[in-house]
Amino acid sequence: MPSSVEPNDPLERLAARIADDEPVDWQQARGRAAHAAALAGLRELERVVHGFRHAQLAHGEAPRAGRFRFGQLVAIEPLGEGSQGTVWRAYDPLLDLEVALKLRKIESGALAHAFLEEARRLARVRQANIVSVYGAAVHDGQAGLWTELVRGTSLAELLARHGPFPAEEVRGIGLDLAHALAAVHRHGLRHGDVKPENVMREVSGRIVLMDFGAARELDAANAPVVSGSLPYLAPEVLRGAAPTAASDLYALGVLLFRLLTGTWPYPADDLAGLLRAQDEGRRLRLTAIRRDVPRPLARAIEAALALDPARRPASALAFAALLAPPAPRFGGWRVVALAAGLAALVAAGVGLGVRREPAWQTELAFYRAEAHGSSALADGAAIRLGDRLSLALRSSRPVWVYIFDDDGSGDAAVLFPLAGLEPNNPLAADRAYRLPGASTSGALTWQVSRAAAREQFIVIAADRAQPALERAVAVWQHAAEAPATRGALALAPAPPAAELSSPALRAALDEVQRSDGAHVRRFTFTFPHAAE
Amino acid sequence: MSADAHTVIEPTVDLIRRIRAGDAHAREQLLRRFLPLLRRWAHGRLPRRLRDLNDTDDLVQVTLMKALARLDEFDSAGPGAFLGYLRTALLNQVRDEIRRHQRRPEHAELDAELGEADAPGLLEQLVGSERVRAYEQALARLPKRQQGLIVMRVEFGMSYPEIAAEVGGTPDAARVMVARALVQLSRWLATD
Repeated sequence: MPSSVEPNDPLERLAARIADDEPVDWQQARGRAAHAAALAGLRELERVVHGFRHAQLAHGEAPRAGRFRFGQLVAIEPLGEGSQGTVWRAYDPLLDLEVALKLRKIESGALAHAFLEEARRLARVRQANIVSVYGAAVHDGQAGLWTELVRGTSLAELLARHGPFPAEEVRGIGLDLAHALAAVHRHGLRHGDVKPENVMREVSGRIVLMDFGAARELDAANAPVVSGSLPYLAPEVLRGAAPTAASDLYALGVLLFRLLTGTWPYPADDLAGLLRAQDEGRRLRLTAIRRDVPRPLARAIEAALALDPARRPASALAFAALLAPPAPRFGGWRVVALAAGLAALVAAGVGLGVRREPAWQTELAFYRAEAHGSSALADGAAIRLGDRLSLALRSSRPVWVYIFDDDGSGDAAVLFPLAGLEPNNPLAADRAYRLPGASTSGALTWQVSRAAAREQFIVIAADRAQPALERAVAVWQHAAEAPATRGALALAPAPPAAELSSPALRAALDEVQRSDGAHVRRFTFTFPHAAE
Repeated sequence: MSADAHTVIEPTVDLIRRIRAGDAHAREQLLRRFLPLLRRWAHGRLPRRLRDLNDTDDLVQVTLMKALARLDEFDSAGPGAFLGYLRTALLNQVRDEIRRHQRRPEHAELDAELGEADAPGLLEQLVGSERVRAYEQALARLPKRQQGLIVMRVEFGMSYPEIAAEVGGTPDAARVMVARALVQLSRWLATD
């Protein structure tokens, strides 16, 4: 691991990298106009150092003290103390790869079994912002877990060196870590020790969540071991409750708060002071310390810091949705996580816009999410920026549903079906659906996130597949899945070439109705924007 | 960092002081510490035919014993110097061994085949004899203390906490000192 103290001189920094077997970007070094002769000398040095390293590693006999073997791995040097053991830089001769090897003592066979079981679970968690697990084994009473060797600097070190982070960088870090935690939680694990010391930023900028030493199964019956650092422990954990996914979110909230302010939401000298500050609700306000933090970002972080776990974002993905930057365009719609509790309200859709026919019945109604539950939204009702909408739908026949929005600006958007969400076409007969549906984080809504004169929803219901429309939607959606998309929750702007314009949408829908009118129904709902 | 292997290392200068006072335990400790390290190092420097494990062991043990026997002569040039001293002694020993080996008639043909007076060690094979020679010469031009730092990090592959235990100070400081010494060394490499 690179030391926390970097030499000041650029040549010395290069030399330190060479001494540490770190890759050196010679192109970049030259670009920095360092002395050419000095660089030539350092390149020569690098070759010699590599020679010594390979000569040392070429033969596996008699490992020296401090350089020992663990299975096929050769431990090279200690990198530091983890939560429950020592971490070593090690070499895997089979993969010809350097790895990080974490060792801890194991006293019993049962513990060894539990350790390997946990390692198996960790190995299944594959996500770009989580350190990759390569293997695990127990040898001679020592349990070892080896992972990719992350070469970078911890957020704690960056904070100590450069002070508080820019707000947009914190938002990006928050999004990356929320997605990382979502992957962890999906596998029934919790991290349990989310803090800046355990998050690395690689030279490439990649954010990596490290040190799963404290990760335990969520439903483990045994009493929790309080191993995280005090200020990052959720209030309920401090008071003896078992750590949960919600306590991971609290820790992430504290981490983001700290990156922005350099301090903690509840500044205290010890546990007693911390408990007192929480009991008295003496939390520092983010926006009071950092006025430049955008309000939505501050609100998202403060939501994660709620004392009551039930008031925190419902899941890591829900937190990611709160952190996500407002989608700038695409019909002004974002699909966001629905408040907990609303999902239970899904009921037979009745009400406005309903059309009945004896042979084929379809019922549909729009709803707006309220603080508690949701209320039906009559056609023509006024909506506001930030409103979160959903559509209740039931059909007496299996039905293919397509929902579009046209806000009168000339752009249109596909609101349903959405890739990666449930349900998908066709929807089953005689079942109450609430669209847009749900992701792993729970029920979702469409959120009004762009000012316009009105929103017009066009709902197409067909009792048989509509290949032409299907193809058109696929093309539009492919365009929407631009690389800027983060996760499944925010819709990104479409590249101009494939943009869905209002005229293109209307032409496509008219064509569908013209060719297969008997099997296609079209419903239109218009909601004017309320004057602010 | 509590009771970990690398933090409880007694500096070599202290061990040497105790050995001089006749402490057999300290002598044991010194052997245990440096034998495996020097063995590995020597392994990379010896020609293949001499790289047999027993040969290497013999060579290293003999060198270490001789060095211990001459501790009184050893003029400590400061922390870390003992390793540099050992390395020089061992390198001389390696060269003697190669010369002795080459005088044996039964190997004459083989050496002729190799086409080199000095049969290359593994290191020379990896980076070339020229480069190793240039490195040795550059190293010899540095102050003893800097030589020691480079040898410990580059040649013996010691960790910074281990180096810090030898030369004093923190591991971070040791890292900076090693980097500084390497920049000095590279200046001599560049002029060639």
